[in-house]
Amino acid sequence: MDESDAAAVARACAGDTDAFRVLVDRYSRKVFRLAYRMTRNERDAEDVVQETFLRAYRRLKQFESRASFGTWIFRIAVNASLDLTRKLGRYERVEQQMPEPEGGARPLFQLPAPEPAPDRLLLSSELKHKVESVLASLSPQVRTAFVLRHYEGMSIEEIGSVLGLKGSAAKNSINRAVQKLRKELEPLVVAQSGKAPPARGH
Amino acid sequence: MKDVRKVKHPSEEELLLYHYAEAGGPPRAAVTEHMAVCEPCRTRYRILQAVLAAADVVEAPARSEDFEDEVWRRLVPRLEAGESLWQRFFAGSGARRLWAPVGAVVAVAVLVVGHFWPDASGRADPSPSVRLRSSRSPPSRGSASC
Repeated sequence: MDESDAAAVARACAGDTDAFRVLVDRYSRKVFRLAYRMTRNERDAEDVVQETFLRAYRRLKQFESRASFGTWIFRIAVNASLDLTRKLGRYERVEQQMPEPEGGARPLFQLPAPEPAPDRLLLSSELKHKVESVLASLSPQVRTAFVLRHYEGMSIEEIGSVLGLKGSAAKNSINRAVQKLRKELEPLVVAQSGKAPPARGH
Repeated sequence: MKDVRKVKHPSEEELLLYHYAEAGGPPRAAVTEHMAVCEPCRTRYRILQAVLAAADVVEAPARSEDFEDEVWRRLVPRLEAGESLWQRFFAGSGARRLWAPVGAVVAVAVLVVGHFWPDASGRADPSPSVRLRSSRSPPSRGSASC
């Protein structure tokens, strides 16, 4: 049976580095994914992984066993990512917009598509760039909240704990991110029926 | 039976909570029933799903199978460097434990010296009572740290 996080932490606090290795093995990929989505740079994300676990190791005795180690390590990872991106000034950059294709904007995403479009690879690349551009334009708090909810599947309550926010503030941050994504992507989303989306607040 | 068409149309935020199965919105069953009979809301929700599905194209690059080993290999020297620094002062053999009271004495000495360290004017920091009589507030000085 796998050792619980709390048990591994207890052993690590007693000086057992193998126990800390258990935690590193268990969370390093998750931390990398989070760090990559925040820094959008592989090398930076790997550095964040290192810094995260180094900080965690130094603060291990501060970890309260009744809390979630995953939430705790994510909190450290978020701060390490923000520290790095702030230092490098990366999050202030806005991705350069790709030129519009000839003939005007075309739908990037159709739902549902019964068959793959012939140029789906190109559409996927454009879509990815568009999404990355929107995420890059978000404030660090809003982007982090969305990343934790959408990509890491954390609950709003857990996100609030990671970011040091009340649940309502975390929820508002996620909502703001989604609304911005929707604003940018909705014109490009074409319903299979071809009907225009209903007006908001109907 | 309650007419779900008369149920308030879920807001964008409520649809989001519904999508993520989060608490705080209307009862899930009520939203499901409403969308079953309300095409505009059903379309709004489908667009929301499409937008969020589009966000999934942004994936983190895959790591190798030995990624964890690589992380640990890079981490260990830094962990050991950190350990040795603190262990020299607070852990280890009986001889090493002398570092703890020595460190405490040094810390107190730094505080005392810092308190009486002269300010920019060359005068020692005046006592609070003297400061009150002075019309000129003393210049700020760096705080002593231990």
